[in-house]
Amino acid sequence: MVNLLLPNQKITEKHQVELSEQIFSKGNWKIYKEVPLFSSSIDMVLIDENKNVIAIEFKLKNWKRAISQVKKHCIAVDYMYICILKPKNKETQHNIESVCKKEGTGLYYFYFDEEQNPCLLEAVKPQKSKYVWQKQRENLLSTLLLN
Amino acid sequence: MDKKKYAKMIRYGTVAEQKYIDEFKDDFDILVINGNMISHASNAISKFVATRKFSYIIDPLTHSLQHDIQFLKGNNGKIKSSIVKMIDNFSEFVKRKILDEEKVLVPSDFESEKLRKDFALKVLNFQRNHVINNSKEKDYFKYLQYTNITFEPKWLVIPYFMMNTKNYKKWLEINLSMIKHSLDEYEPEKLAVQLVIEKDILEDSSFIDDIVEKYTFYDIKTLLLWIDDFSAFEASKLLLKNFCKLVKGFSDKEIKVYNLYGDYFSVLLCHQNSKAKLSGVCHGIEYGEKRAIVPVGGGIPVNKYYLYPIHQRIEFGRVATLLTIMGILPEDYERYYSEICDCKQCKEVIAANLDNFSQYGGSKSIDIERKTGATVSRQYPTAEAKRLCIRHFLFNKLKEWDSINKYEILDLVDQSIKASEEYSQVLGYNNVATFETWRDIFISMGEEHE
Repeated sequence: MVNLLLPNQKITEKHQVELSEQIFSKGNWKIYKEVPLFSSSIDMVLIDENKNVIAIEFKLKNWKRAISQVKKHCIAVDYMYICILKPKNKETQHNIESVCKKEGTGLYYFYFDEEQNPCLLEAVKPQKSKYVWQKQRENLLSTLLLN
Repeated sequence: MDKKKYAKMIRYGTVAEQKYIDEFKDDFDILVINGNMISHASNAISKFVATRKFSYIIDPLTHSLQHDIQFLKGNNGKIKSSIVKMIDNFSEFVKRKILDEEKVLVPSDFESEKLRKDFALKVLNFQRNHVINNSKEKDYFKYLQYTNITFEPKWLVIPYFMMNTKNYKKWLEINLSMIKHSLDEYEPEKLAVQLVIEKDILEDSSFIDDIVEKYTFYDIKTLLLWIDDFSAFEASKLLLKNFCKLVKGFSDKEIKVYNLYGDYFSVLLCHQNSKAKLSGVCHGIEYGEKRAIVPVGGGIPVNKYYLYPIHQRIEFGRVATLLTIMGILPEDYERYYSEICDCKQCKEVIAANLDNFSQYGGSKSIDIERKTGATVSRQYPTAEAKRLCIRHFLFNKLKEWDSINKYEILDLVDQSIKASEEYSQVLGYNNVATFETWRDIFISMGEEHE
């Protein structure tokens, strides 16, 4: 895996997205970035082999904002995740995880292992969106699969 | 109730919007056209106004000559041709300053009474003669000259300059002098005074008292109001109260007040029982319920749907989310018609399949280059979605006008509070608080439930 960061370089959200894309690309996903939906865009959309549509909103730290942003897409996707840098503090982790569980939002922690390889940890599994409007979901799916 | 105590006004925005104004021409009473716009598309708009027999007024936008000269310039750095054409009808000293020297007008330019009078009358003449002068040589003129059409605007707008608490003294005196000179030449019924103020004036009620006292010294019948970027959905309680105080100050003296950029709150002030009585409200074909005096950038357009129960344009995605969470989308079209909207446009597009609601959100992707050089995709409304949203908006504005003939003000506000409460989990609580503030204001003015 290519680590896009130079030694001692601070990670940006852009790096976080690109390195996560590299990780996801090893799985069975179709991956789309900056997917426009309504008046904003979804940082990343994954489509799995069952054609589930999964939205991921990336933030370095501001997890509350990430949750609020990803939930804007709830009527057009099946599952929603946020992806943030893994906090060092256990209590903070616990707090974020409990809010994500309550909100039904999945949670990925992004971090670097001891060899400085980028990693993703699925800390919370998402619940299926309760409010999918199939018409809008199909519009999104067909637009993506056409590209 | 007496139904015709107010004027429904609509603003001519661009030539592309003309088709909507044409479609709804029988539903609105007065067409408002900006002086620079009619100067820019003179033949097209003159013909449109004359042949459709519109009751119209021309806003001479004289305030635009007092701000930074950059606002009068186009991307090429030159004064916009529409402004050049409009100013060409104004006094020589204005042409010299704006066009030759590229300097804006300041109070000291109006020291001479002679120049003031010349300016006032030239601006009035520009409005009075524009359509007829542009129609005389046209084929349609010979047919229309035998009808009762005068080709003249309903009112001639007296030249005006924007006032705030800082420049108040200087421009007030000039504004009043414009009124005086205009009344020397025209009947009061033919004239409209335009009052353009920044919001700081509304923060201090002593300014309001002074404006009402000074303006009503003259025999004025019609007042057009424009408060900078004023939205009743965003304004504080103090600003709203003082807005009503200003309207009431004039309406109590039998002067008809028209809000040139007004939202639903202003429509409610047109209710026959309103203590602060507006005589009309103007807006654009989908926007223009508020407007900044100095132009600001528009950003990327997004699909916005007018959510009638709370009388605001909301991003389509948020409305769709709301309706899905409420269980109206995807199937309950009967509930949609009874609780959300049953306008002609909705019935045409949705019929019995609520999936068609998605057409209001129709969009296409465009790539936008950011300052960093990165390219991002954004959704841009399709022409068809724009058409649907415009027609839906206009039908809804007509519904609002209709509602003030049927219900009491407080009942209407209560309906909006109820809807806002229902929507608050998705749209937030601010709407509830806003309508409760409106309610308090109407009650403080003496409105009662029947």
